[in-house]
Amino acid sequence: MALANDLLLQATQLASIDTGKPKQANLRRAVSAAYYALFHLLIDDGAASAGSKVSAAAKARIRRAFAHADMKTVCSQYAKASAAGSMNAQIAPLLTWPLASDLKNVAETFVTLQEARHQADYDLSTKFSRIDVVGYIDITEIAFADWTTAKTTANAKIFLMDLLLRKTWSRT
Amino acid sequence: MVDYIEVLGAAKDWAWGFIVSEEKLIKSIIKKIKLPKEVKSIDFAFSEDSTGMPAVWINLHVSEDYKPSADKVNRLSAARKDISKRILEQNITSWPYVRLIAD
Repeated sequence: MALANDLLLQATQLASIDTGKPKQANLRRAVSAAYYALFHLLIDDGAASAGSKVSAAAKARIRRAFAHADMKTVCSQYAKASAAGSMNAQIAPLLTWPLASDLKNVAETFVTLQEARHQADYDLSTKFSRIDVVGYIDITEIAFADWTTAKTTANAKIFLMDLLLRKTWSRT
Repeated sequence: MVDYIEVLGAAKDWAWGFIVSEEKLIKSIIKKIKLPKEVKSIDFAFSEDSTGMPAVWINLHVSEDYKPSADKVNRLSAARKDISKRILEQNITSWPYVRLIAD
């Protein structure tokens, strides 16, 4: 959690570090930090859900097991899901419907930020502007606030497990 | 014998029709949204994202601003989220990525 908050703070600082025209390097790192802030927020809570008796080393292993691509697949489904029929058939019965808007927003923001982070780190043809980057940080802050509300729900617990286990537990 | 040229042509027609219908739907969604005054124009284009997922890139064109106020950022973020939410609610195949382009 501390790392997630520090990364979000770092994103804000990098986005505003230059007076006048911002350097692309700072804006790109800001976008990347915003994505990793949300990534760490989710994987930290995913590892924490194993319980307080699990060692720090075991939690570190759990955090390492989360995969960016799988998390995106899961998040894109939760963000779009309007009813049980629109979700993976093995996962849908585990959830209470309809999904809350705060959980859906966290999922949607994750997908948005992951793509923005990919552009920031690899696509030099994309030029970032401060207004765009500050906007990405703003939606990350909203997702953090939404997650504070959502994370105590049963759906959020299933969501965290889904982020980690989708490939295996969605098998028929 | 299968006429592959014909099959290819039919697939092309289907894909084109699919894009045109999603394009129409997105246009009608955007038309219904009251955009903040800072948005000068809007355009969009279909392609895949970095993981190969079908995507639509919706560009909100705004003026360059090195010191945007919190109010302005909030207004533009709200517009960004409103567009995404409405498109996602329609269950359109393409994932909506809304970007602010400073001209």
